[in-house]
Amino acid sequence: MHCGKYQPHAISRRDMLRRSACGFGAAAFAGMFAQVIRAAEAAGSLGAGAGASGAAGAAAIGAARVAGPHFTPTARSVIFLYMDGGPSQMDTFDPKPALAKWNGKPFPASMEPTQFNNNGATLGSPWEFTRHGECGLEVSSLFPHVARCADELCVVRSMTSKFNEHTNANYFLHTGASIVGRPSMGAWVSYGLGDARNDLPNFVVINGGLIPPGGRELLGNGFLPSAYQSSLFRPQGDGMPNVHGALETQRQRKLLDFSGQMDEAFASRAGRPDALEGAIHNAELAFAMQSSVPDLMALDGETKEVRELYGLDAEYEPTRIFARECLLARRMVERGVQFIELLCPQTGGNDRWDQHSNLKNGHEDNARAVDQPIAALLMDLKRRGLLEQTLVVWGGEFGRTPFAQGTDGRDHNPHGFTVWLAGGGIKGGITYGSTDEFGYKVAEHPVEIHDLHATMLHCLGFDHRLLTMRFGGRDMRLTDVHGRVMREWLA
Amino acid sequence: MVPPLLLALRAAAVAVGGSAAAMGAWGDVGTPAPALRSAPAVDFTRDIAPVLAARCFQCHGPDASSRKSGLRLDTRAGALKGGKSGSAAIVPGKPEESELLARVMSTDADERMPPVEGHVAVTAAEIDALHAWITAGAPYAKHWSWAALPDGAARTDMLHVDVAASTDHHSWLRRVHFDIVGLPPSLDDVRTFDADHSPAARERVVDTLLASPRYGERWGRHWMDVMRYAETLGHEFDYSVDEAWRWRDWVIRAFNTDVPYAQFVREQIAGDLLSTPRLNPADGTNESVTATGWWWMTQSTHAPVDVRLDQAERVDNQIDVATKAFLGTTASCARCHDHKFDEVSQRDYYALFGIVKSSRRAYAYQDPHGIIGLAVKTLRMGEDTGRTIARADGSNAEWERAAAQAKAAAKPAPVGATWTFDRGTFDGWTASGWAFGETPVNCGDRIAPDGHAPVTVAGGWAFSGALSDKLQGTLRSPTFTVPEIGIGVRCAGSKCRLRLVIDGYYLDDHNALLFESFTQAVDHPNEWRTHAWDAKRYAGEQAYIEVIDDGDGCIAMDWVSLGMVTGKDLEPAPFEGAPGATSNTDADATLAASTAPALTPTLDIPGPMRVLAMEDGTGMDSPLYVRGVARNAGDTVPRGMITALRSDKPGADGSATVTGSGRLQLADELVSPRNPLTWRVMANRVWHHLTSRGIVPSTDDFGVLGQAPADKALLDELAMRLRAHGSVKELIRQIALSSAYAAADRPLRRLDAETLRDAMISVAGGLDLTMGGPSIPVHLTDAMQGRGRPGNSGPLDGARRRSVYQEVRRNFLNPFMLVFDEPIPTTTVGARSVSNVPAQGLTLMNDPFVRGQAERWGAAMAARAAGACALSSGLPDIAARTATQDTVRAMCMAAYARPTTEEEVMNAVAFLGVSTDAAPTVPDANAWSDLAHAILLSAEFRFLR
Repeated sequence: MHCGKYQPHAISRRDMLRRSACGFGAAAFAGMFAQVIRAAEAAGSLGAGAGASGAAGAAAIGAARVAGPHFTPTARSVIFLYMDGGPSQMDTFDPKPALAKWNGKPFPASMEPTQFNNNGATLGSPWEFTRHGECGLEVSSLFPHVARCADELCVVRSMTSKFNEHTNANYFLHTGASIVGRPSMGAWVSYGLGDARNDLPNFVVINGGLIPPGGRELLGNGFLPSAYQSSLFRPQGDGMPNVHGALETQRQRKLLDFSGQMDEAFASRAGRPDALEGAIHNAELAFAMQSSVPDLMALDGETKEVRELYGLDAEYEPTRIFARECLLARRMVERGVQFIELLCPQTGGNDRWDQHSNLKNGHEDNARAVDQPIAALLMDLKRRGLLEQTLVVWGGEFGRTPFAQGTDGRDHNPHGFTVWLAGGGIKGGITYGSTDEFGYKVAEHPVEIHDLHATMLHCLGFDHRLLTMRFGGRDMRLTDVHGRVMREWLA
Repeated sequence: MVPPLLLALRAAAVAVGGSAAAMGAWGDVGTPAPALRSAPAVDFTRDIAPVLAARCFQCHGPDASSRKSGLRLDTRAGALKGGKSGSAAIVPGKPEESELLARVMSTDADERMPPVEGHVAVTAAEIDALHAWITAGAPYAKHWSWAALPDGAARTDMLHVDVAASTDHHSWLRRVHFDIVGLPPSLDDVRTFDADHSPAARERVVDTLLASPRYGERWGRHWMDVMRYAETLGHEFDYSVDEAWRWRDWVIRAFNTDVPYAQFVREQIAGDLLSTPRLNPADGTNESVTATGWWWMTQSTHAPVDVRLDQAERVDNQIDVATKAFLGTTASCARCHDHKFDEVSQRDYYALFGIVKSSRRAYAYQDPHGIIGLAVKTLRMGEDTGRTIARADGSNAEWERAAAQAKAAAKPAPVGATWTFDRGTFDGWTASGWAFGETPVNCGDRIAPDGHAPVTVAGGWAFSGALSDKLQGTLRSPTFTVPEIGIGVRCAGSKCRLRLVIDGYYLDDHNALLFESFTQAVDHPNEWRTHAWDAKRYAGEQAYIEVIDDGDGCIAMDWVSLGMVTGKDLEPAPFEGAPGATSNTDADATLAASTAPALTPTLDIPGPMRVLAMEDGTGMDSPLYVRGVARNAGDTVPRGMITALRSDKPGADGSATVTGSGRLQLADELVSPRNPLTWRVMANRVWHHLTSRGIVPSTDDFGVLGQAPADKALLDELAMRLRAHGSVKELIRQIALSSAYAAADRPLRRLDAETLRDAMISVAGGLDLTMGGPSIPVHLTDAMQGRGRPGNSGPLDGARRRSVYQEVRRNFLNPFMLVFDEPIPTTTVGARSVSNVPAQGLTLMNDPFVRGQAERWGAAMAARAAGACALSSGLPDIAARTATQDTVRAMCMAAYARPTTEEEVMNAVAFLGVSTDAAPTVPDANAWSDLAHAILLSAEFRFLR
């Protein structure tokens, strides 16, 4: 297992080509490229249509890439509700009555090493579980709103990760590898789907306040062309910096036209290198975003009912922040954004969902922030007919231990935890897999992060084995050499 | 990128062939085979090592702990011996008998290697290569970058290859200006160059640029990326790193004065330990000490739950940066296990770990212009005026009586006192600064601190007020293991502090959570007290005590005990008849300010300059942390350099000669002429910055997983030159004047964040070239929220100072810089990523800073045109047109460093809204601003040809 300390050099497709060209000379460059493309096409490894982009580097600069799914998708967009820090499974969606029995007593099963090595007694859940929906899903009192959507959820109680430490586990969850430098799943998705529209980014991360451990690299394009990196939005104000025109539109248009005229002349003198073409293209994209982003961010057109549904005016500030995030996510789905990841807001003095101590207050604060907005998002998508084409995924990088850290916290637990999915071709009202009687380790049907990725890509119409990018001499995938599509989850 | 033509010409020299003679361990090959002038059919370094590394080393590599079946393939001996199965993995010359080939080709899932489940099969091309390699005798070669540099003189022809076409001279001028000083050539620069038709014209330009102070600012910033320069600690509250900027200024001065590279490295690793430190010619301060500040630019969190783990994380980052920066080696990969690919064992990692852990974070005292030193000298010489430490020598009966009294009353230190100061030495403690002098004061000494009447000292004390209250200094204890029952220091004093430092943790300066009361104020001038720490929670950790006098007070301390006192004994002092004499005498002598007649101090002593620095603590070997777990100590590992890179192999017992922390020895190992990496890595960095692509593109990883050199012979050539002359400027000069550098067909490069910002301000006419000093506070936008947000925003335009002087707050990085790929300071970044995102377009169009510069430039150009028009004696419309056209030409020249075509002038004039046939006036400032903005936005401005 890789320790994650090695940070591979981020290398773009162009770099890769250059690198391949080293030692053969520039003359071989063009020929080599054609060869790589041909070889890739022959192997079916560049994803449908990737080779059709033609000119060298076209995909590398963000120009429209003719691409698309391998088969008919059930989801067009993904909303990833990332519960940074690792929510506790046995306090949310995986009830464990045995814990109440053992509460305060030494943990009766063997314990794996924990990050903080400060293991206390067995810790029962402070929350009650009740049954919801026609399916009778048991949900704790932390999520009263989400519980109302029980029949939409596919609750996976047998998720596993390989990493016990935030940064590695975050990279693993986001990129399929525990190291810096691999593309984030959103980057893979937008790479696979190609540009859906030109005036909004395809991969958006809405930053409610907390960039997870691992930083922006979690959300990067890795070795995929930089056009597939995420755009970081804030849920308030303009959303993105500098989307307000510095000048009135006509005047700016004139300025841009003149600048473009000079660029055209320069590009023709310089032999039209792709880096330049990309930069020129981006100026136009930026201009278009000056109207598309404010339009996206204008929530004042939403009805009072919608505002109340999401909790835009909730008493608790973190709820208001996450409500905006969820509502913006819906609006982005409506506008064709392909992958939207929501990051949690800061709640009180808590360190994300990472309750090494003070579990009760910490989880209550965090749940209070996200519960109502998430439920609203599911209901709102559903009534607008969007849920069936939008895959919603909820989860953290790992779960938590059934025994206490100290007296009132829980340490990290990658051995068994819960995520749930909804919409986008996923069967609602089911649970999958289980943990042992304490909620500690998977008891049946273990699921790997790679399987989650494979299934997400499947819903988007991709065979995860075929969505690849040749890099460093290998056809790289989000699922590395693993992953199976969890057909049991599919509608 | 390496100029493609150079590449093409040099393609044949890419590889160093392996040699069948290179028997035994991959790591034991002393001399590489001579370079082959034509690429061999199969080459170990190029074709085989990457395959073995990627497919086999996870289980059959250098890491013994994860090795399967006892088989290792990273050494030839291992491959020939085979694993448990007994059959040789490789039989040289006989591929059909080689188990390795059979296994990788097997179609039986149980047989195949690497295992079918979870691994990628070896490709057909790779099998062909392995086959050819085994047929050729399966020669191994030491990993290319770890093999010695070739002996012999550097060749001079390498950089002067024929290129199909050189770039035009304006493009060359712009290229070389940005590359060397990070600023566009001025109108005068272009004119001068245009007028200089001599063969030495280019040399003159390069020499002028290298002599410019702007050079250090440009190349200093590159180095700051390598050392992850930051002025805050990140994490939750983003606390400040005080005085960080002094290290930044050191870097800039070091580049400007072209400090030889070996010296540059030694100072940063161990500048505090050099026997003859380099002095700043301007103020005489110790430059070498200032060089060590980078060690402490780690990220750091307050209130670490596990302080030893916190230390391990910090040291890991320090090792990571040091080894990547100077060696291009990811030694940090060996924290938990032997390196999977490179010759760095886990023991090697902990050999380095011991060195770093034995060193301490300190604010070193500096004495600009020697004023404090002069004051100390004056005070010491002033015996006739009574301002001195005097021993009772029989010449003065009154002194004798007082001394006798003091000695009679003095009692020995309590039994169990760990350190006392009554024997004329600091008992292993180290004093920095001036306050504590060379030795403690002795019982019976007669002293007269400046500004006080003479008194007789009543005990043997470490005393910071013997000469003057105003002198500052810090006394540090040896490292000790924290005892179960507390630590006590007996002292009296004012305006001083005592501090207990556990496992090097220092953020209690900012936030004392979990370390409450570890820093204690000493402000009881007339009373001896025992200060104690309740550090039970940290029993077993390593710690030291700091006695800090960094103000106008002073402190006297007579003993320190480990394990004698507990928290409840803190006050009042529990020891009756403690050493010293009567309390009155104590008070008199200790802090004469309150009891002895106050006189007027005769000297006005300034406070010292403080620089963030590393200092040696107690040299202690570190245990290996089993599986990287800080609380899982394994064998103790002697401190020292990575074994495979040691110039002087350790003795049979594995010990190397180290003194103190061992940093000085480490520094010497790094700059040993026999160390191949140091020179290759830096030469490659220089090449990278001049071409934006290193000969080894993975500038910070020269290991097996790094990228291969595009032209090893060229890299070695440059490395040998650097080793020979040590001058980075000279290396830059040679490359910048080469035909390869001047080639026309080099790829376009985008200006980096700093250069783009500086160029904008520069062409707009307002760049403030003031050098050095505290950073310009970051400008805060609404989007920059969160804990640790500074109270005040800095100016939008950064006071128009160069970007290198703008503050780097980890949690509040400048968004303009970030969007153009300024690295996030976590670890070494030798090669920045170059992204291309719409946010860049938005920034260029709408960022108030950019628009502000456009308007500044526009206003100046409007004034220029109006002025020229007014001065003209021609017809108004012609005068206006001429002035407008001239101004357009000047703008293009400033931005692009080339003459403007007539068509461009016409287009610009049209854009400005000047009707060519009837316009009696020049355009207004708004029009000029828009033209300026369009130019700043234009690709030609942002890209280098």
